[in-house]
Amino acid sequence: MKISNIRSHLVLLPADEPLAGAAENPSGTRPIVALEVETDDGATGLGVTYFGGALSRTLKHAVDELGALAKGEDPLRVEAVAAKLRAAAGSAGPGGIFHLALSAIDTALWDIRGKVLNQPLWKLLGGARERVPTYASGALMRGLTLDRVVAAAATLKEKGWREMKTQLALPGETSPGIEVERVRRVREAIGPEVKLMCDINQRWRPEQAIDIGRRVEEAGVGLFWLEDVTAHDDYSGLARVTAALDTPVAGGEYVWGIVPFRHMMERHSVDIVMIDLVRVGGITQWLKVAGMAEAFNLPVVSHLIPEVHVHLIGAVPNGLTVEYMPWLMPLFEEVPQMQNGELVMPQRPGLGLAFDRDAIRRYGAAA
Amino acid sequence: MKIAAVRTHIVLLPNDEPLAGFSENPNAKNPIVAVRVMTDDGIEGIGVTYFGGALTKSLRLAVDELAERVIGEDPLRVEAVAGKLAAAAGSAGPDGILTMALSALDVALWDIKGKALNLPLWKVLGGGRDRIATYASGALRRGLPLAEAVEAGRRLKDQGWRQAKMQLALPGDTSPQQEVERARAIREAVGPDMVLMCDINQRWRVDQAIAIGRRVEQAGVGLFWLEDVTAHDDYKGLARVTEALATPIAGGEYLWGIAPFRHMIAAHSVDIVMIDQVRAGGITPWLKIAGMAEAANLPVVSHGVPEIHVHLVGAVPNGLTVEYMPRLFRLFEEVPRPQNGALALPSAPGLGLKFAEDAIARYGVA
Repeated sequence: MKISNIRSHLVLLPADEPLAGAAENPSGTRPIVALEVETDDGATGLGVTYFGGALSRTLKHAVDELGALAKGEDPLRVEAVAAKLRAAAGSAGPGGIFHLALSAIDTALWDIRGKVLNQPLWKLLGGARERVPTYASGALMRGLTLDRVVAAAATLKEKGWREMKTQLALPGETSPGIEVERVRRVREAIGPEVKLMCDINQRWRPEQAIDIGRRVEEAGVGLFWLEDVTAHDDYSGLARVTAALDTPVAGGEYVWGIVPFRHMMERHSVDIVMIDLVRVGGITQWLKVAGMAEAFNLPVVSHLIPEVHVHLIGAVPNGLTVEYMPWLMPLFEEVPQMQNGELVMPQRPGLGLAFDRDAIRRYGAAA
Repeated sequence: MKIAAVRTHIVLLPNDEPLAGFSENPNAKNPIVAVRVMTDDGIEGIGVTYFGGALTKSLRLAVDELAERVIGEDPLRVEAVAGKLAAAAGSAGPDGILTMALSALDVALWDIKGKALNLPLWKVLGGGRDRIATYASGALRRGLPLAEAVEAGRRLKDQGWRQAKMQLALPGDTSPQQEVERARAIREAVGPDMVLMCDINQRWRVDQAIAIGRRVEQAGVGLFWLEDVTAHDDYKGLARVTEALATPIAGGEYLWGIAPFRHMIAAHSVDIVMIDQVRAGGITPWLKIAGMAEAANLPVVSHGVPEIHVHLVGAVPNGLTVEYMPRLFRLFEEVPRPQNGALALPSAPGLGLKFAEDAIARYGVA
């Protein structure tokens, strides 16, 4: 079997918020590069990548340049394909746009493998569980007014979500008092049983994280985790926060490839390891980080794209919960849906996903 | 003053070896993205970026996409421009192609600043020295047969070079003995007084670096430094080699941005900090790393593009020597030339460089 063709599409998906109807920026769009890898025996795999921002055309171009080099290769040999592309890219990697592009190709190759072997990916990769917890993400963002975030949290609870994530490090004028008050109100709206996570997106300095984090603890908010409390590569700063707070500290979505996870784990920077499919370089690399975390006695959680991550969190023994961030939903004909706070593992071979052709046409953008 | 326009070109420069005449791969090309930033008051700044490999067109497109967002900005405010571009790029960075593209724009803004102030860049940046040591690089590569490498070593000596770099971690079948023998033969060719560096380009494991490095020491080769002995982000592994060998260990060219240098310096991974202007993200971050190294009592050296790095290594107090890697010289009308093993700091404003228009026409690609 050989890779025969690669097609990519740049789509601008609407930046709506379907879980609670609480979009921060409803007129915005999310640029996504969708990829299809075809083989000479008819199996096709799909992959996606994103995070291009103002460089999204560059990202699509990078996918196309790498895709051209992957033609003729055996799609089952993911490590050999990655090695060839790394060598060709030379010093344009590792890290950055090269990684974002490589990851889309790697994901598509795993989809092909699942289809060729006629197994859903989660089973192929270990098959630890048939159901995994999932949490609502993207509905309780820092850009919403306090009233809207409280209402959105109540909506999520009514819809049956058992886990959800909010954000602190508020825009504009803020103070530790305002920060604590916001998360206290969100907790009040959802009751004591819902698991509540809180994302800082690297916006605090370590001493702020310790100070505000401790005040949130003292206010009895009870966070399941506090995420990306300071700069992702300040391994010792993160470790100071992790040591100082009782609240578990999560992180890892911002690092490129596998090696920085080693530094993060060796330094005890986090309690919960978050792995991003596109920044880590695809499914092949994701699994290596999960194995490293297991050896360090740490759980792993996913960042974005639940449609792919459901397979990965479900496959490994230390998968904790799947972030349900519904940014890519319109791109697929069908996606896994939350039932009783969980996701059920898909049964179709490979990723079990198909691009919605109408959506690709409708949201397609010139590259 | 405002940025009025940005133009980019891809050029494929010949991969010859002008210093000693033995190219590892004479038919290959070096793809370079050349950048011009024009201001509304008529100043033009130039920058370059490279390392695109198979993604060179993507790299150029990245520069173009970023460039759309700098029109109208004040070119003197390099941090504000970098902040705006990093925010626009979002999660496409940091690192990789974004950092490589940013770097070309940052260099062009510093060139504009020097021209606006009517000062050569090394003086704008600190003016540490008016001459700086330099070493021949790219002439003694691992792909050359031993006889050619030895002859190249002799030619460098005859031409008056006082410092030169070779490579080990040989391709194909090799052994510690063959590695040591090559270093010994090149040392013999260049004589005892040549400052000789040796690059491994991350190809050894930690244990190999210690074992072969020690044998090279015992053979009396006398290396000035041993470079990139293992994976650039294995900070602890590098530190084990640095601790084990008497030979100074150099490294840093493979790191993106400034934060990894902190980890490398804190872990005592290297004795000599090598900074790559493209991977660091331009002149602005280059200077921050040099300051961090100074605080850690470490010297800095440059990687690639001596035409720009002469200003940087010359400006800072802990600059040790400039890598003279003549890959880009055709792109410029005139470049700094070594005299008695040193480079004189340029006197023209800014970088003091002009693109050779005929080279851009001749080697340019769509």
